[in-house]
Amino acid sequence: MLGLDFSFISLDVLQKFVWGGLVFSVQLTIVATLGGIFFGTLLALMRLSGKPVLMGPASFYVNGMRSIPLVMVILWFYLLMPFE
Amino acid sequence: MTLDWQVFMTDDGSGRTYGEWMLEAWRWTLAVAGTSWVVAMVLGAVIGTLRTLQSSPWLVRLGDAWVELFRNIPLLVQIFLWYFVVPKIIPAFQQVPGFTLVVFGLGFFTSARIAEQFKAGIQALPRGQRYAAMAMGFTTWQSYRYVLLPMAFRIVLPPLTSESMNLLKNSSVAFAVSISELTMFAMQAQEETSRGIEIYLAVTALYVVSAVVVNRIFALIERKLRVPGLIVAGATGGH
Repeated sequence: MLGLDFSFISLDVLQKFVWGGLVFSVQLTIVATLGGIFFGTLLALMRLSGKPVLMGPASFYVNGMRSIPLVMVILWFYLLMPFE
Repeated sequence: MTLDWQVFMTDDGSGRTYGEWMLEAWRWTLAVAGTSWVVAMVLGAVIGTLRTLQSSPWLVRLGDAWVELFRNIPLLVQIFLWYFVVPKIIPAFQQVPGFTLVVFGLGFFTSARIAEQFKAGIQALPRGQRYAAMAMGFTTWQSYRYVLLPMAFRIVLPPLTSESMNLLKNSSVAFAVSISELTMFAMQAQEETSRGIEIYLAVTALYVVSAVVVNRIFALIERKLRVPGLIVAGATGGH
């Protein structure tokens, strides 16, 4: 059909790769959401604090992160993490 | 650790410097984002408007299906689908260059999001606007053209700003199918020169500059199109 070949799909492939990938996706989503809520709340509080010492860095971080593609953020972490 | 910006003056082995390569990659990023933006805006505006036509339930369903389809698949997966699966299923796409396929992917993905915002913008108008247009004897087309859409467009400008900046940033996924845009350049040049920090800093700066320019352009449009007294744009800041 349509030149497609789905014969590679087997219970083995599903168990090894598809299920594993799905579990990892869900784990990543949960951890990132929780982390995002925690740090996001912290940043929001900093920006609302009225103290320039806290507002400045928080605004810088938020505006900076928002104007960089996610792929670049991941590349940055990948580049910097092993050395620090 | 010291930064060595000379890396941008060195030859990359093909007669151009890494600096020149980066500017070329920047042009690719802008080309991908710009072309996709046109596709996304046209499709998004049309589909978003169709979804508010209560008299044509099938057009509404079609629009809803479009939005759900393109919003619920990760962008990267959509790019892969356009690049690897579509040409296999539809032979006509085998001759289509990768650039165009990425534009389809990015454009359709963003069009779903813009459609959602247009729909919300039209629905945010007081019901009286539609009734007033009907009372004036306007046809459906006329009431949209002269009454609803001009106001709805102004309402959706702030989310459109965010979406246009998102589109520019999302164009970085084109690296996954070997479009030689900024992210692709960053990865390749980092590997070749091992001056990752300098290259990433420069690429990041270019993305920031591009995003800020998009933001300023939209702020200008918003200011120019403001209808005094009707929408309190700028009061809350929006994006």
